[in-house]
Amino acid sequence: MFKKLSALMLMLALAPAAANAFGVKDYHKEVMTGDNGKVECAACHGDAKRKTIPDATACEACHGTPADVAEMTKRADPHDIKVEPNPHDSLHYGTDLPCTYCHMEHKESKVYCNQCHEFTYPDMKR
Amino acid sequence: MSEKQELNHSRRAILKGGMAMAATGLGVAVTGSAIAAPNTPESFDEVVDVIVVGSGFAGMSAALQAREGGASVMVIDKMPVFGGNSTINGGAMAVAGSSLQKEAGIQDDVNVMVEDMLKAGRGMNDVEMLKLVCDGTAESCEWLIGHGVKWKPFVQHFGGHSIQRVLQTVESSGAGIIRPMIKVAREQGVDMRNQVRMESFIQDDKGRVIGLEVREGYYFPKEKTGKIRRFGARKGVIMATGGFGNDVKYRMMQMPELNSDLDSTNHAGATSEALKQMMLIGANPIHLDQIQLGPWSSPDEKGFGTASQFATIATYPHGIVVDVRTGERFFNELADRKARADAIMTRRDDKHQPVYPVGFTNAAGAAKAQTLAWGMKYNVIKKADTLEELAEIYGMPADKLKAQVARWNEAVKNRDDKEFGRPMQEAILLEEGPWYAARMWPKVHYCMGGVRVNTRSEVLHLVTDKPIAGLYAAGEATGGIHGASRLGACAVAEGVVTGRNAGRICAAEKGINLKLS
Repeated sequence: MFKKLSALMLMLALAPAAANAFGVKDYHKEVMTGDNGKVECAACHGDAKRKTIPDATACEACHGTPADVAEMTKRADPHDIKVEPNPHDSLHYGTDLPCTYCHMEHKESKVYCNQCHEFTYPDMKR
Repeated sequence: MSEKQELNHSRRAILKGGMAMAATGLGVAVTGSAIAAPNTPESFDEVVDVIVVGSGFAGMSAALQAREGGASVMVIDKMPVFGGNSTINGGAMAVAGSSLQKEAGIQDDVNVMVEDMLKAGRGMNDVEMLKLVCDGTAESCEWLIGHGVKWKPFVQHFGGHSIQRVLQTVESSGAGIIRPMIKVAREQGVDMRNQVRMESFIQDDKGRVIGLEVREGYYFPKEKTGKIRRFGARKGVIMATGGFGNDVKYRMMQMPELNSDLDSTNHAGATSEALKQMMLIGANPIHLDQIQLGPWSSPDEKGFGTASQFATIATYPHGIVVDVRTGERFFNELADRKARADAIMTRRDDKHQPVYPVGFTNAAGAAKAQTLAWGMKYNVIKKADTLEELAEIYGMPADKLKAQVARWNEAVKNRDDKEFGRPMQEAILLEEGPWYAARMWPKVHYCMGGVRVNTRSEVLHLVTDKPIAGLYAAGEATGGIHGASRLGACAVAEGVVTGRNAGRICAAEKGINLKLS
């Protein structure tokens, strides 16, 4: 136990690095980098341990509530088949799906709906 | 705190409770004493009257009914979203004696519905539970309307039912039932918790279920995510945990032929761990090898998709299904699901590979198919102006296809399908194009099996056949109601009726005192 802990603490000590080493997305680099030039993990992860998937409420600080986001991507006509449905206000799940099931910071994002559907969202930043 | 510390802490907490299996995974040998030792903590992190596990038709109905009975209710779901399979299903409910049937002049009776379900179930059904479900459909239909559900203004004829008795939400989705129920539940103060996975039951020294050990903040399907917590239930725990249709490993233990080659209509969370936890404390598994394949799905898309709706509302009542090699029909398109799925899966080449049959109807037959445009957008449903063109698209012999359509039209005129004995109430003449078609192949859809319950929705013990105190189950998690094959639109009926039954009875129980930590 002690050995594992010390190994982990060593890792933590070596951890702070430039944003790109973490695979932080380009559009997030500025907001997630602290004054010292290091990534501020706490911006999303808060006090939680490393590799803990952040609570989606962390996204709300900048992006607004799920209802706000749903409004931003609202479709003029939800029945128009030429437009893919609003992923932030789904027929099946409303606005309940936490952001983190589609939007990944340190790896490629994916569309939760596409476990069943074939929606294309070309504007989604992967 | 570090991740390692956290995990070890959690594991230690569980081991102390005697449920090694829950923490270390099913691959680990567990001694008899570890299973038998009741998990008896002195206190809980949170306590409510009723905990409902799962948030599909059965879970939400149970939660609302228990809340309306005055109980404090918490609903937990391991997934990031609520509704399980229910919110992605077709939203069709079989109702015996609905007001829509009366308006349409359709005579129906609870006993006729019971007879239809017994016939499809090959007589294997739990008749008492079956009667409870059918008897409750008309009243539950009204109850759903009162909770915001909107039905299409017509009654449909689904396969295996002797008459038209199927209502469907205007959304053509179970979401049209689940979303309104969640809205009402939240308004009424039901505590809705997603990302909370049940790990194991907590029982008192007499074996009564008094709560659950859960993993809160669980990120499906990452096993070790979240924190272990203990939730107490003064009146009881209602298991509305669905089936295991998407648990390939476990379903193959029951039916080896249902391997990973077969797709499923189920959501990714339709797995077996809740069922196993019930069995661990003595629940009696019934009919676990009765696993239904949906006969209306298409191999050209994932899951339930667009073709399933198209088949149930267009092709099956108003069109025909043919073997592409002969252009000829080969089964009763309105038989029960098992008969149809079995028939379709006989279409194979000499290497045993599927030869996907094609189901089609014309514009009049497809008039009510809401998913038609979506299916065409994703190239699952195809349009042809003439039968020759249809034959060309799917490589069928055009002359034989045309001869088959002519024979079918004769049968429609005579209101008698001499070849396969299909009910003809909804059959139409297939004389004019354009034609709409989809390739078909069954997908794993529903588990008829589950735990044995009585008409009070109490889970019965394997040895004594007496209720396990504090433990209720409803919906697909229970076994025996449908026997060998569930009829279409009867899962919503079962979920809502048995969920409400469990919620009502559990809420009326005298609660026990539980301590908060």
